[in-house]
Amino acid sequence: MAASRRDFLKLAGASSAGAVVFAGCTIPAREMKVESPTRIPEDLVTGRDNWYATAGTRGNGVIVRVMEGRALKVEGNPDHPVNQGKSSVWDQALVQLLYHPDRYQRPLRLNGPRGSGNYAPLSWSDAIAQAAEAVRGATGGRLVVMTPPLSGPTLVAVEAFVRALGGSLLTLDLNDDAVYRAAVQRVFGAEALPDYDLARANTVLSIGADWLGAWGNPVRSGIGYGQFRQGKATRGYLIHIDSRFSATAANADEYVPCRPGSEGLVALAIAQALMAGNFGDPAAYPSGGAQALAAFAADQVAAQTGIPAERIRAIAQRLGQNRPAVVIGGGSAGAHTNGLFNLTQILNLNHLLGTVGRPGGVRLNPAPPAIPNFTAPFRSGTSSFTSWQGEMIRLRQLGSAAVILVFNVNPVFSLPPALGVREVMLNAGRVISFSTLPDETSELADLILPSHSPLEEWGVEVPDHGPGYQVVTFKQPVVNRVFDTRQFGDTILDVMRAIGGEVVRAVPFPTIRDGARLFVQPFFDRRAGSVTAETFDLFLNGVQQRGGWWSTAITQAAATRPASFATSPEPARFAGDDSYPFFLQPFMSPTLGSPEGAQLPWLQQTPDPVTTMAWGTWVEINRRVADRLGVREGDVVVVESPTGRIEAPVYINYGTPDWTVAIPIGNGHTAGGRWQKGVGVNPIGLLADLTEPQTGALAWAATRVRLTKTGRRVPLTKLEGYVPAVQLKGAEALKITNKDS
Amino acid sequence: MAERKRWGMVIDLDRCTGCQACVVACQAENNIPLNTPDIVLQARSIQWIRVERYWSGIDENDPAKVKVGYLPVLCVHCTNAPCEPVCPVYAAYHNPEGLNVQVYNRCVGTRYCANNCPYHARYFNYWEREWPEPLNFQLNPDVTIRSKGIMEKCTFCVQRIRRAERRAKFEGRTVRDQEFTTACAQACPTGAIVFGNLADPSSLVSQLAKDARHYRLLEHLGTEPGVYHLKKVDPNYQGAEKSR
Ligand code: SF4
Repeated sequence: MAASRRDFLKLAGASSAGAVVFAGCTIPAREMKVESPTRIPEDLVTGRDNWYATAGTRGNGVIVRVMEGRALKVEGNPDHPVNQGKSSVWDQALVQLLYHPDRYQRPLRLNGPRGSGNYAPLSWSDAIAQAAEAVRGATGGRLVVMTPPLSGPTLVAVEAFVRALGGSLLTLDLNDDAVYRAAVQRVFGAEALPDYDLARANTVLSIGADWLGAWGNPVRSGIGYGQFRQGKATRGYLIHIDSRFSATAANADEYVPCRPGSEGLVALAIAQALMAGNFGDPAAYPSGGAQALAAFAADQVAAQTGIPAERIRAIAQRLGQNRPAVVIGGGSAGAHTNGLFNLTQILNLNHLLGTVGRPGGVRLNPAPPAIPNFTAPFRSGTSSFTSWQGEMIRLRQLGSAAVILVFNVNPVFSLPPALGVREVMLNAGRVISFSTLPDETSELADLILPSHSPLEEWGVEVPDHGPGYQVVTFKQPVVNRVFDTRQFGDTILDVMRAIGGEVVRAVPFPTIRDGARLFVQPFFDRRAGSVTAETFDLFLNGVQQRGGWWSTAITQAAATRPASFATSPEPARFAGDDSYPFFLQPFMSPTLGSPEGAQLPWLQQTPDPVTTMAWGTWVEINRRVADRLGVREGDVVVVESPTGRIEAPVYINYGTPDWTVAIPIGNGHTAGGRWQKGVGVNPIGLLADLTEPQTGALAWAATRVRLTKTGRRVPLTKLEGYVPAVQLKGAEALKITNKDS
Repeated sequence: MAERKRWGMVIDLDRCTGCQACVVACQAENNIPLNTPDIVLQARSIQWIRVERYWSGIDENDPAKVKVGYLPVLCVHCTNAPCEPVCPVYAAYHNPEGLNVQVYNRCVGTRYCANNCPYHARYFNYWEREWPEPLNFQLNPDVTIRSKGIMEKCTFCVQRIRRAERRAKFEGRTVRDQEFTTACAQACPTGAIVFGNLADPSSLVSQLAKDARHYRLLEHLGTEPGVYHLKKVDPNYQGAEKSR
């Protein structure tokens, strides 16, 4: 359903990375023709639809169908190298975020005690003046700005603002795998996250990372996965090792449960078996090889990992013999106190298999480009859990002297309550929210200066999970603003101007839109890449139409280095003694995608791929554990950890290991829009504050829990039951073959 | 110019990961009402395409043995559609391009068709549905909003077919293979869904339908579905494969 303009682009660029030269354009004559109304087929409204390219979720590029000024449908941008025309449930739901009826529709001022929810409207000029008044005196570390990771001109504006006032910027993203980022840096020496060439791999081993669920960019992984399975001569074979039966486990040829925190040992045992069997790439063997790792031989660690020795040897043999083989590690494997150790050992297997920088292996991505005249990086990092802890202690001491600005993050909900974010907010001098939708955090604000939704914004982004070469996505509004809102970055620039004095001199550009122009100027100057043009205005036009700028010439060479494995183990620590017999595996719901996803009915109602559950929170245990507890599906159980307690119904997940209790994150909101408030329970309060010491990341899989039955039962909101859970014997609807063709 | 058409689809179960992108894409394209928790609990959710998940190999003593399979199911646009002859008002009719079409303003809501559909692909509107403002701004003007008492189901995105045919006619040509596709196929990251003209032997969908792994749902009923599924591959599968 691409417009003819897009067809032209398709033809002009040989591939999605092909260059398009933009010259002055005229409308083709055939597009001016009008069809006779008598010929209009039933069910079709006349009118022109336009497609506008912008940024989607998780680094995807999208095109949005707009008719009569309304955004109707999101599709993947077929030109965008990251997602190549494909899209996710989260991309699709962007239109529901745009037209959400519970969005903040105008600036609001608190009219009563903080947290009372009583607000009165005020004008933008008054709102800016009041925000400037609150912020003006907040120098000397009294200003804290909380946002999601920012990029491009918005980051430059916010950094300039924070720097001018001597404040601090705290970012939060529950999907940011900080430990994985650190492990990538150690193992591959690359600043950017790598790309896995699944399409050409024959064997994929993943440990912990739910890359077909909510980890990384599942659209990009999905494209590779389709090719891996049926897009080449030999069908790829997937092995997934995890302490939870995830969406990736559900699609694996072999799912191997392991004990939580032992993922690094598993990798060492595989490395040992590879070298002992002479399977990997002998040139990449570390000195001493198998001998040095003898202590981690499969038989030695079987009890600790929960994986039988012969299974490890079989995995090693398959990896070594069916190359190219690639190893992905992340997610729960890194969410332990020894997370960095685990992920480093796992990713190191790629060196041993000789797949770094080779087809079917690990493709490194270039670092985001530096933009002349701006000192801020292209993309901000994510603040670690320990920096949040530190800032909360500092803010508590500051008390009413603190001024807190929040934009589209919800730390009151997303961080363990023990951190005291709520108390800090209640006691702060001023709390100003810039959020798009109400939530637990914005409800504590004195002043609300609501922001645009992503489809109304300008920006420049670099995808986190790039395709192996430089990609810059251009973000533009696809419709006029729906409510009386403003883009966050623009509001910050306005506040800076209203503060006056020294601060005004720090304003980097008049608007974010102007900032976005400055950000793409260097790519115009290169006169190469996916868009080239005679003048800058034509270039900008081209970038807006194509959805960004990319260049296959800008890559990151992989340095071949020998694998280096640890020779002493780093065991994981857990919160909770033996009276808490289970290990809690909280996971990001693959349908909600983030805690903010709970606002959108399309995401709430979509069945979770493994359990078919919608609209709620559930507790996954296996049948054997359920029998032992005397519970059936739908029975409400108490889940208790040393730090918290929740109640939720049981779902029997047959693949869950005996030692695991898995609970999805995202629901359990006590505030917010009509579709999120009061749905499910929030398991984040169960988490102890153990961290991975080198990165300061929260070790979110390091809490032990116990289960007790309540005797209550609730019906489950799931698709299963409408359709059977298991197939009828002899009349299977889904047919399976073992023929590998 | 008058080219024969039989719109159809191939869904490769070995590619499908159960990600649900197709489901939400369909809801966005076809003005499907919101499935609120009470509706889900009553098993009256409307999903023109749904992804059925099946457990197999359940072994209480070894969780590692369990397998999951995903089966996207939509109206398979049968050649011999059991829903059509039972409709007293001819709301379910067969169009010349192989589509099984629901004419909303004929439907009187007897639900005979739903009873007769072996695929559970027809959905009834038990309530008048609402899109709280301004959520209604998102609704697709190409697609009718169905009122209470009306049966609805997958149309193979007929509005997209019509648009493509109209464009081709303007340009004095026939519709090219893969120049457009359904909302579900367009979103599907893994490329599991392919839509096209089964009457054209050179189309991608015709080629894929010949794959050795092809089968059709409940084929023994003689409904002649226009949707082909390709079997999931499990190299460790021990089950009976002898019949084929
Ligand atoms: S979008 Fe594709 S991969 Fe995802 S559930 Fe649908 S058919 Fe399967």
